[in-house]
Parts: sequence; C-alpha cells; structure tokens
Amino acid sequence: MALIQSTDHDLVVLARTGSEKAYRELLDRYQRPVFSLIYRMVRDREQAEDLAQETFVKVFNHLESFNPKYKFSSWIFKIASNLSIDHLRKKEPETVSLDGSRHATTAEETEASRIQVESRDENPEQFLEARELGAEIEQAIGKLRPEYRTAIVLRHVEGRPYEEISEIMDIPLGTVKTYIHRARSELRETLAHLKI
Amino acid sequence: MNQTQHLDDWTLEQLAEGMLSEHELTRATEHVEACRRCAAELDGYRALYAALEELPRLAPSPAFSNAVMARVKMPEPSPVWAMIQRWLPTTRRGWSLLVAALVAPMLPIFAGIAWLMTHPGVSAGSLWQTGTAAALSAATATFGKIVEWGLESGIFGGAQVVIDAVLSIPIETVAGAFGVLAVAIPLSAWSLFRLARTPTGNATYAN
Repeated sequence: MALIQSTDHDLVVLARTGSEKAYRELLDRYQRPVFSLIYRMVRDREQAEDLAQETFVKVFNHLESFNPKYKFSSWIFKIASNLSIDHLRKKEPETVSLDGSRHATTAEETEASRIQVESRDENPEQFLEARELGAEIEQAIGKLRPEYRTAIVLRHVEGRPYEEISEIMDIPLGTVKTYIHRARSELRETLAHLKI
Repeated sequence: MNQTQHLDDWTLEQLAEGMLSEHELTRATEHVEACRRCAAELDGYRALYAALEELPRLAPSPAFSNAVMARVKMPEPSPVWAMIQRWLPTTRRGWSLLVAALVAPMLPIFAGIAWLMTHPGVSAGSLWQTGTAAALSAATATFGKIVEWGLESGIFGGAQVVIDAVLSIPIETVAGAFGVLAVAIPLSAWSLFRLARTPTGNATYAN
C-alpha cells in the first residue's frame, strides 16, 4: 500500500504494530515543519536539531498515548513548542544566523552547520534579495516574546488555522488571536523601515 | 461607518487574511475604497503576510531521519502475525496475483452455471434445489458410512460406555462444568486473538 496516501491516523495505527515504513512516512511529513518551528524559536541550528530529534523520539516512543480525537499535527507541534519554550526558559536566546553556527571555527564547520534551505526555484538574484529580507524578518521574529513567536510562526509560516494553534499551545482561541495581533503589530513596528 | 471612523486593526488584519464574513467583507471593502489611511494599513498587513509566507523553508540535516530512527523503540510484531505475514504478498502485484489465483478456479464454475441456465427448464431456483439436495445426500451418505464403520469397529460400543458414565454424573456437576466451559472457551479464544495481534515486546531499531 502506498503510505504517502495514508492519513496521519492510519500511519499511527500502522506504526503501533511496528511498521518502520509508517514511522518514516510520519518523519518525512513532519521533520521540516517541526524543525522550522523549533529553529525559529530557539534560533540555533544545533539546538534546533537536538530539540527536533527529542520531539520525534518522544512522539514515537509514546504513540500509544496519542488520542485520535485530536490531529496528529497538533500533538507533535505541541510537544515541539513545549520543548522549545522549556529550552528558552533555561537559556538566553542567541543571534540567529542561516549562514552557519557561531560555534564553528573552520570554513568546513561553518559550511556543515549552514541551515539547509529548500529551493523555491528563484533565480540567484531573487534568492539573495529574499534571503536578505528573510534575515531581517527572522531577526524581528527573534525579538518577539516566545508565545507570540510560536503563534505567528504557526499561523503565517506553517499555515495552521487559529483553532489548531489554540490546541497546540493549549490556550483559548481568543488568546491566540491576541498573541497573533500583538506579534503582527510588533513586527510591523520593527520592520517599518522596510515599508511593511 | 463614516469617513472619520477607521476600521480597527483586527478587522484590517482579518480582511488581509480573507477571513471576514460576507457582510463584514462588503462593509470593510467599501470603507477601504474610500479611506486612504485604511487602504495603506491594509497594504501594510498584506505585505507583512506575504513576507512571512516567503520566509525560507528550513530543513534539518540529511542525517536527521536516521538519527531519530536510531533512538526509536519500535514494537516487535507478534510472532504469530509475523508468521502469517510471511505468506502474504507485500506488493500490489503480489496481491493482484493472489486474488487472481483465488478467483480463477471459480470462473469455470460460474461459466458452467451460466451455460446450464441457458437450457430450457433450468433456472436459478432449480439449480439451487438440485445443488442442496445433492449436498444433503452426500452428507447423509458420508455420515451413514461413518456410523456403519463405527459400529463395525466397536468404537461406538466404547462411546456407549462413556455416555453411560457421563449420565451417571449428578446434573448439578454437569451444569457447573458447562458453566465453566462457557466462560473458559470465549476467554481462551479472546486471549488467542490478542496474542496473534498484540506486539510481544520492544526492540531498539539499532538492534
């Protein structure tokens, strides 16, 4: 059976019987968005990979506790968000860079730690422009409170509906809207020089 | 809403997201067309959303998947189920061949029935009656042969002794034994079913 056509719930059921293919399909579906959310929260590539790994290990080793009443995506994003916020509470945020870890000491290490960016089929000039604008926006997102950051990234980067964000963050829908509204206001203020 | 009143920020944000109701959308759109300030704010929100949606799609390192799977404890499939699975096809082509192999022998039978029904006087009802009569006759003949053999071999003589012994047991004891069996048999069947379906333990992927 082509697992790519299976729903998340079907994959969870298969994974519970020990199907490695089901685990890998779930991993393929969610590794990018989970990593993306965590990275924009903690703003360090190595930490983001560690926390993303932790997220999947937690999810996969506790599949029996997944309640099919909820969406699998809500569950995994919730775990990712909680791990990120716990990490931020213990640590000061660092300056974000897509161009390699600040801990890298050689050119090879810098290249190896550069964030993988999936191609959007732009030409090189467009890619560079988008990259510069993206860096400014990433900086601005990094200045938001963690809760605002989670909400705005889930809404506008990952495209999750308000109701799902409410489930993921375990807060009322009204609070989600408040966080997103405040995040937008702060971003517009910070990025005013870009005429956004 | 008159020209001196502006749309609040949340309405503008919802308008930029395309999330207003039809009625609210009409009112808001009419106002924005007439109000430069609100039109500029709306453009600002749209630009912000577009910029956020254009952020790079980040991906973890290529080794990420294997690193995760090395730490996952996958349940081991039940040995009974694993044995059954060994005989089942794993590809779409395999399943197609299995179904074809099961259906193919039925085709001549169906063809034969269809041919018989083209004869006058042969109908589905008459075929059913003939078929069931033949099956009953065969079952009766087989049972008769078994009883005849049993009588000749003396097994039924031995069975008579067993039956006499059972009939001598007090009725309450027999009823109690039936009660125990009525509970034990379904419980055993359920346990067997769970054994066949439930994973037996954990195995680390790396092993």
